Amino acid sequence: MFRRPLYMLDPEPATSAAPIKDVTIPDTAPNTLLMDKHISYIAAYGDKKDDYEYCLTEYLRMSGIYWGLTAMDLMHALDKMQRDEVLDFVKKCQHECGGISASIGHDPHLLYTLSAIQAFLTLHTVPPWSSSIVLDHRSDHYHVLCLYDAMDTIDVDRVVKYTAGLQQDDGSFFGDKWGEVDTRFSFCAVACLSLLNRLDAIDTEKAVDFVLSCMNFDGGFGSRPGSESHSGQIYCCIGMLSILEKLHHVNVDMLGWWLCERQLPSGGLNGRPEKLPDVCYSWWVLASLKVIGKLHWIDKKKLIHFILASQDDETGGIADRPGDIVDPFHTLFGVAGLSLLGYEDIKTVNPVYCMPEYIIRRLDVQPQILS
Amino acid sequence: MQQNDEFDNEGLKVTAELLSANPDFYTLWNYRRKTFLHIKDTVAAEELQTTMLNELSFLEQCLKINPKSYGTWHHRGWVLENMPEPDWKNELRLCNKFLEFDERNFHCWDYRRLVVKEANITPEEELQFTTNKIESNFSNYSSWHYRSKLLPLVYGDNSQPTGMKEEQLISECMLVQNAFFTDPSDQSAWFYHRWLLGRVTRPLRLESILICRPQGIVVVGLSHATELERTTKIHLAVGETMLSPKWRTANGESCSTVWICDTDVLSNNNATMKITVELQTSDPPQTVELAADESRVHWLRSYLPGTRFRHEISAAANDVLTQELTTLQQLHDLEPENKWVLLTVISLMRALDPLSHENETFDYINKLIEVDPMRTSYYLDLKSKFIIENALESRPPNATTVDLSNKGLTTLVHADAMVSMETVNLSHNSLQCLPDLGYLQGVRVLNLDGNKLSTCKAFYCLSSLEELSICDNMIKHCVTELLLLKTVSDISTTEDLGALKSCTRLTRLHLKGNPVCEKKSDIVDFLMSLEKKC
Ligand SMILES: [Zn+2]
Repeated sequence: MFRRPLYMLDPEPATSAAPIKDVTIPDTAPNTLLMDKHISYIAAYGDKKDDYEYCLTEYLRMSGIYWGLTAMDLMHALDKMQRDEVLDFVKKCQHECGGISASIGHDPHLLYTLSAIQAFLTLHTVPPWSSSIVLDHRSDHYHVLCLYDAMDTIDVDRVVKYTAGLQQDDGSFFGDKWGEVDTRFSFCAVACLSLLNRLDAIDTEKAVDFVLSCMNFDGGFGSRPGSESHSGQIYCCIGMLSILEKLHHVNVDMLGWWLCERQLPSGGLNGRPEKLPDVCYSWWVLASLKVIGKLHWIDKKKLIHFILASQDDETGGIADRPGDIVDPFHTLFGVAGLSLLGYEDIKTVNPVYCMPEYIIRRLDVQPQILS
Repeated sequence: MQQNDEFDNEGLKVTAELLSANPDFYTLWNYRRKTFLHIKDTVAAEELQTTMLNELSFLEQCLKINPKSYGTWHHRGWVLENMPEPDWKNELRLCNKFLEFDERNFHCWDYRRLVVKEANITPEEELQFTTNKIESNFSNYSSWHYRSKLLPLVYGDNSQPTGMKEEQLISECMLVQNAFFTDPSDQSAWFYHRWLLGRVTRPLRLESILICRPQGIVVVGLSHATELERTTKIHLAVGETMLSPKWRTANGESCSTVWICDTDVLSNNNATMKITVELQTSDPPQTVELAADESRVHWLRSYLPGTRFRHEISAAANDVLTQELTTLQQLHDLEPENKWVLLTVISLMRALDPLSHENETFDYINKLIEVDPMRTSYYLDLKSKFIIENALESRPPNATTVDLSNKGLTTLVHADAMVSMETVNLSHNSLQCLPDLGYLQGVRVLNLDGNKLSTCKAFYCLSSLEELSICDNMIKHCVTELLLLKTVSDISTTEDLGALKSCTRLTRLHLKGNPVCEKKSDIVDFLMSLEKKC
């Protein structure tokens, strides 16, 4: 059916080979963590409310708030955020149906419902503001306390009802009432309900079956059955299976190999084969590897070098790759990636929730992590 | 929300402007959908059709500006599903166009799968589409991926171990060979090749049984991790008496390859016993006889040498694999530094005959580390896996000792295949962390001297363990670590050492050469005295 390529007859190396897509890191790129600059960058971000760029990203404001809060907490600077302002904002974004929107006047969606829950748990679990809560790490009541405290902000029962109501007969989740199905939403739903200790509200068995039906020949996962593997989706599916303690379904050797092959000569990781490296994938890939116990399969030093080189040494903040414009999204995932890599002075991050580990522990949530 | 047509039109115009600049503004797509639903209720079908056709051309403009917006693609599907006469075939043409422009656009591929379903396009036609795509550019991961979904639909054959008709498998191998001979550094074809040769999906069956009389346990190893009760049951009979025991896993997980049951029948009795284990599947039951005054007995499924772990690599017939190996070795001669070729040669050798190819395999792994140093740890773990597999392959059926000392191991795998072992020697390797060792229910003597272990977390509830040696490691907080083995409520200050009760038979513990030994706390003294006692 197919003719043998000429290469078989001609022992010259193939000339048609496409060069590897990658970037080169300039010698002048930063090579230490500019933590103070990132703190000022994030702290100032929320102050520029009239900025064109700020307005343009209004449709994902709630996630932006979660990214900022988490990045700041990981960098020991959460006290520089406006707690009351954020909580007030979150409250105003909850709708009658229970779902939470990206911003005031926008429509509710699972993506922003999870971000809102992550943001408010961060603000309610953490000193310096939570001094009114007894910080007994072993107390089983902590979870309850912290939720009660937050009750005045978000109607948790309605969040649960909204989230559970988006589950479909096949176990999948709509992102909102308009019917888009995606394994990202399976993660959002399960992560959100597990943080609220309300997984009983959904059919977890069906939810797992749906996610497993999105598994691919390379061991990865896509957005829907039949969809190509993508590191972002893999992170969501692995995270969801981890929360529900079903990681035994994962082909760890195959997936781990595919994931560590995302690392390019520059040290950066791409999201799928033949794509450019990107700092946010240092998070999706790395966190997935951490959960399946194979973090050591990538070259940590080279990845740290890549993330550090993606910092802007003038404005602060981290970009998708060296030389590009920074944003809070890549700043969080850069910092969180460095945390997983054991970079000093950054708080430990939980690989499943992308929240500081100490918050996850205090909530008494224990996602499965393979060793 | 909408009051009149004027309002509708004005709203549609404004949101259209905003969305062409910023298609991720999801609330605006919702606004348009609400508007269309309103229009749908108020106008005739022809008018709705016209409105929706206009929307589709607007969407095509949006996609040209930003072909990777979730919102735009989802809205397009919604419009098609809500218009009176959707032309799904036209949507296929649209997909072709966009995939022409960017053959990796996964949004478009996903939309295409929706279109294919709605337009009743056959898997055969789609397979041909991927063939054309691949022939025009081999380096196309998306097409190879799609092929992996279509091939089983078109050429599936469940009577074959690969799940596919053999002549098709061979012609598919030719296609992949064309790809990797054209561009041997392109990973798409290599990942596909790995999948194509396929793993065996083995039926659930018994792999091993271990009976320990004094501990009163029956340990059953299964062919794959299983959630008992949910998927199957294990029946247990002593003599003619059916027991209905509770099965547990060593580490409390809900799913495992190894299941344990505790039964008094064993420990209260010293007579000869016939113990029968049966899975609630078609797998035949296995009976083991525990002789009078014997303390333990085991059964292991027997394998032809070199086949024990083959199912993890390939299900293809040997002549197919041999042919592949010959071809790959030719490519290796042409491209001696190519890591994909090296890795594939290794897999093929392991699938064909792991024992006789052992040395070559290790040479190739060393070469891999040289040409692809970024993934050194991956290759070292792979090598450890091969070493362990080969050791387990070549052990005599009744062996109760496995010696894996001095092998350079960086990871421990297949502990579940060591259920019946009494002595496991893993000393003088490079192990930094261990998986949960709960599978080693039969192990009496465990040697981990001279590794790089920093915690003792793995030693949990090893019910047969009598002697544990972890000299010359990096254990700093052995005591607290061991304490963690017990639930918090079991820890009281005076009985801290009771923590070791999780391994109830442990009497000898060797800890020399660990940082923890420098701390002369009472507890450490006691641990040391345990050591001296023997
Ligand atoms: Zn990115």
